[in-house]
Amino acid sequence: MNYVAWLLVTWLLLGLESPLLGSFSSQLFAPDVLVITAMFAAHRGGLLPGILTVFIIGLLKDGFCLAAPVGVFAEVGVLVFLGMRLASRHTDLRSPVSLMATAAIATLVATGLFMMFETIFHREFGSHAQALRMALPLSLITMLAAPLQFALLDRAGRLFERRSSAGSMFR
Amino acid sequence: MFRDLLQRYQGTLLLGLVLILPLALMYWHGKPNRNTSPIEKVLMALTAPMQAVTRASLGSVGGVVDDYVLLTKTKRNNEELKRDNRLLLGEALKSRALQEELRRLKKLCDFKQGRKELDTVPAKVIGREVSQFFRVLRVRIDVDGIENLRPGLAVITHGGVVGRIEKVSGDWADVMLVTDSRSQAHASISGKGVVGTVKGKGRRKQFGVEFVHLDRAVRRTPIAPGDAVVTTGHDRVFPPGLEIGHVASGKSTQRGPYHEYTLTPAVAFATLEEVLIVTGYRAVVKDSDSLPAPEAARRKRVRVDPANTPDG
Repeated sequence: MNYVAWLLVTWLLLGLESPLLGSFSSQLFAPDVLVITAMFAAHRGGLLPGILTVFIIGLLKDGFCLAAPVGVFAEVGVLVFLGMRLASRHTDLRSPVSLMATAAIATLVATGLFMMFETIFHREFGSHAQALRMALPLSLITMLAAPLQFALLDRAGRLFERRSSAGSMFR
Repeated sequence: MFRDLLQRYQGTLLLGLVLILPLALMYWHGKPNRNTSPIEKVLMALTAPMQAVTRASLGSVGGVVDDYVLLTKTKRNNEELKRDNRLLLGEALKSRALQEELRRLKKLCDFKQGRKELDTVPAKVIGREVSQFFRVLRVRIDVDGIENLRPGLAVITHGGVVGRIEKVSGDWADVMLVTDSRSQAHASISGKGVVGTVKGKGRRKQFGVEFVHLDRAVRRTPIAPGDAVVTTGHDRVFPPGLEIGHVASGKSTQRGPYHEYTLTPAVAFATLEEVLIVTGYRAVVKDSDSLPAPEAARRKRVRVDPANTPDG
């Protein structure tokens, strides 16, 4: 049930992100919610349910960003998830500093992947320079948002788990 | 067998699916000039309501922020509006004062038009006597070159008698009100034929009237509250027919052969702004008094006698 909670929280964050950042004219400085959730799922969840969750979230992000071809963010999310799974032995995400540093690197990687897929599959894409220019600010803002989103996902997962276990007791 | 194979490679298959499916989607959706695909429609249906809800929520939150947090602009606007409001209030007050003045002047003009037998000069009230013992107004004469302005001239307004000029200095004159204790005027009760002398009592809103005790006349037409008291013109100060006041009470105080009644002034002295100074008047001869027609319209010039003061 944790995965459902992560999915719902990330969907909510994506839903909030779009109009909220548009309202404050800072859409270019939106944290990469998908990358953080992929990191969290890779760190806390199992391989298959985690990757499925990240895949669905990636598709949802594709739904929020239909200017890019559908599947870009799903693929990026899945790859970040797998990369974090592979690197989990060498990274400790319990410390905020390492979490932030990892988030920054993961975001840079995700941006690189995004540019690569856009270049390959999106023939109309012509914003490489802007994507490159925004890569560093995006990683920084994601880095700052990572601890908060981790805490939020952790709390939501626990809440869902408690509810589901309480419900099963009465059955 | 196939099921066993599926169960065994479930993880690998799922992993392959989530890796290859997006690539296929990207390939399909990356083509230029294509219509909206069913997948895009589904994704839009999933995400758009969320955006709409959050947008609406943020709109209400933004409204709260605008209303209660971001008040700096509102404060500035409020100060500007307050300043404008003060200016406009001042303008409105000026306009109202002008309107009121216009209304009073119109009444004076109407009065002057209706009483053409009176020669009058307009004057503006500029102050009041500060003493507690006298009821005097100070007026400024608006018309230049009034040579015959002198003490004793009647001062009236469209409402009735105000008083008489007591002192003159240049364009300035002090007017003794009819409520002043020194003031006297010959008067009659309108429509009842009872004549007498109006004497001021020194009170702001009251003065006494002494009437010659005409027992038969009074008995025939008793004096009642609200009866108008008008000037007769016999004192040669006030033109006839001007209202001085109204009988406040039907009860009288007898002093010798006289009955004294209390009157309420016809003019509100407290709010008086403009007055007319009577420099002369023509007595209109009634038709019944005259024989030939030209003679009926004859008007007799009456000179105001300044010497005819109550003291004199």
